[in-house]
Amino acid sequence: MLYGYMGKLLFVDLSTGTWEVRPLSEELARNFIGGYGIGAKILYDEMPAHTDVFAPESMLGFMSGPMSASRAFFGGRYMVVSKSPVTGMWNDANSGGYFGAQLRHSGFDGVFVKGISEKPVYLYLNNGEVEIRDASHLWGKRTMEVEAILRDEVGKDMNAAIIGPAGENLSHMACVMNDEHRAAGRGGTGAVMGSKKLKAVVVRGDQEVPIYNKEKLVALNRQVADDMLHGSNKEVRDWGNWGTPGQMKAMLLIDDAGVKNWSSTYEGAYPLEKGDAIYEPAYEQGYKAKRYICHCCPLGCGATYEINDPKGKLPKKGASRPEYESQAGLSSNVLNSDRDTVVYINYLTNEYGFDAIAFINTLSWALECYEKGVLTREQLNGIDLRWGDPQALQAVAEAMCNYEGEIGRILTHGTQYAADLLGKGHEYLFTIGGIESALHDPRNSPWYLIEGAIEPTPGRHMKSPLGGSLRGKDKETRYNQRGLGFTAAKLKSENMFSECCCYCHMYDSPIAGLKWDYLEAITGFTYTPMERHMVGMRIFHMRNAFNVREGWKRGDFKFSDKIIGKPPLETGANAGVTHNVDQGIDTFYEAMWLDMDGKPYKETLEWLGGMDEVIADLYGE
Amino acid sequence: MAYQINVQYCVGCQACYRACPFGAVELVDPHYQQVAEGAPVTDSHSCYINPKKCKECGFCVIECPVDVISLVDENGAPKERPHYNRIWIEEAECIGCTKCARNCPVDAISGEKKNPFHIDESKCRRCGVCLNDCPKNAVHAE
Ligand code: SF4
Ligand code: SF4
Ligand code: SF4
Repeated sequence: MLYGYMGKLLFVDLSTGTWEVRPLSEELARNFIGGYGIGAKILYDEMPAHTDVFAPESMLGFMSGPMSASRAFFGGRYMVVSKSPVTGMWNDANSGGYFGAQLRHSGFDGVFVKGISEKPVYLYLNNGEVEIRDASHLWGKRTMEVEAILRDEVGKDMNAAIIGPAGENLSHMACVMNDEHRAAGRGGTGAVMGSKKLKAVVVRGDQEVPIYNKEKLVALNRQVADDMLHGSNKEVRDWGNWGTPGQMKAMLLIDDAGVKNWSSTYEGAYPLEKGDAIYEPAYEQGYKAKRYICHCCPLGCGATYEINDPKGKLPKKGASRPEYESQAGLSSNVLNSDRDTVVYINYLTNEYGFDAIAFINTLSWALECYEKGVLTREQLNGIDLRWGDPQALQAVAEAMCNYEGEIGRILTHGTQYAADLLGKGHEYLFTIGGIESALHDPRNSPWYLIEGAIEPTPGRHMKSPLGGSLRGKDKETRYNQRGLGFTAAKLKSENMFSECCCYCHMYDSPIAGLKWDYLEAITGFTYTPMERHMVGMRIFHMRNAFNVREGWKRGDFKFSDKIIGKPPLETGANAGVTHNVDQGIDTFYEAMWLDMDGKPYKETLEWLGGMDEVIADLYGE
Repeated sequence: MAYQINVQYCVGCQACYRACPFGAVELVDPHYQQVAEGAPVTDSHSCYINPKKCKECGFCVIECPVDVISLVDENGAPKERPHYNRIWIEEAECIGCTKCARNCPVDAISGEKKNPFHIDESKCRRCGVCLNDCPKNAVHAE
């Protein structure tokens, strides 16, 4: 008996309107855990190499992990896997809320979709039953409206992964939204869904995942709860009260938050008092805030706002407290001091289904391009887009959402697309592999850049554990590239494992040492210390091999000039620095058992096991 | 009599709050100035079951990640949670008052007013709420 999994994967072909349920084997579960681990293995095997991202053969998967619906603390996430319209390579994005748990209650560990439907549809998974339903009445609608309609249609107890107009319009910044304001954001995954005419995946049911040792699972949760409520992790819980935006001022002070489209620091262009209305606790004043909690989370770092806006622009309900990324991206990085603008534009990204990180970077890029004459006023629909002007920012954001005029044509696919389209403005990009950076400045540590470039999904701050851990350290420590390859590899492996369990690893330090115990309690699987490392490595290698088979090699995920400090900043902790990260990449590749082009050695694949198809493809056997 | 939360381990994850079909679970959250009358004082967020509203369906119990929700009697002493294999309505005894159908959290009971009501076994979660509600004791369990 397979514990910790529903044991079923659903495969849907939208071209033919057919589906098939396949068992999830114990071998697949043991080797690839869940989430994008299993997702990568399936897409590698089932999706032909060189498939165009919007072709019918292109596949899109929604995966839970062994923690989903188990009631393990911090286990509330799910993953969307596909190719990325931005990189043309592997993509995964993940999100919290309740969709992951509900997916399992609906009877499946995951659902994989290929084909293109003739008319808009949504998938309805209900207690093991599958339906492809008409979604013509939902097409064109914003995400929260769709969610409300779906609740009326199928029942309040449903959850749905939904695309907004951004996904329908195949925006490279389109994300998948669930639970009103949770987003599987990065890499343009919503466009793949849109290309299939799939408006939503709706899940519902009361099936339970079999737990190997329920008593042990409860005991682990109690141990963590005790530590967070009464013991050494009390502080983590307090931190959750303010959520990610609570760190905004601290991030400015260590020059981690972007300022003026990443061209300055707070000392240079955003005097600290400019953000007084935006830092905690001011960001909640005048709004009625309520805690938002993902499935079985002992922290609850989110919040929703109820707003009474006399001007009627801000939504009364449905706005969430912007996460740090939006908070910084819509204040210091655009030199804005108006809090309502931050909340409003963040709300728009959720409603229209845009990846907030890409969207806000596009705004700041447009600001700099306008200032430097790369974008004209005509190209901005006549809007005089000046630094820090709330009305202009809102107007451009609205036009991006509604695909209006030149703004719609130029800006709605993100910065890399826009610069390529114009044939200029590349010097103001802040990207790795065309993906806009999160609001943690990679110039703070070459490890951000290194981890961002060797990742099959480039430019992700949550996949840069070493870079993240060096934040705020002294210069020598932050900039050191020597001797850390193995540390980076170990952290990478742990990061892969943890995400594939579908853990949230935002504030998960209270369970950091217990993750494998949780897995054992839920699945009954045991692993030796070496096998543990291999699990994370195998998952990384499967994702990396997906790209290598496509022809990807080291250097293909290019750094924009600005992101490596070309030209260097004039103020702050990274003043005068241009990074060259070749040395770090060499050591990382060595420790990841890759050759210097990023291709896995044959021995690596043999040693990892479960990689036979990859060996056949890359080494012709 | 009602279900009760032991706040020693309650992290306020709201799983019980979301599961309760009767709105009996209330949120306590000092950070967001949310209070619930009668709730034990805690220094961070937790949940509280209002005994006046709890219908003892037990839906919250299975959701709780730390398993701290249990049944207590009027004096707060622990009580064994009842367990039913089957629940049915005796047609001859039922007067069709609709009370059970209105309270069933999963809409498993149907019927015409003033006629005998019926429980759909495939939907019934055997929580026993209808048992406690029926003025004629027409609902039976084994
Ligand atoms: S037992 Fe039922 S009615 Fe009482 S609090 Fe739990 S879910 Fe609500
Ligand atoms: S489910 Fe349990 S831990 Fe969560 S709020 Fe309710 S009683 Fe507390
Ligand atoms: S025992 Fe069954 S029929 Fe009665 S209230 Fe509960 S679920 Fe409904």
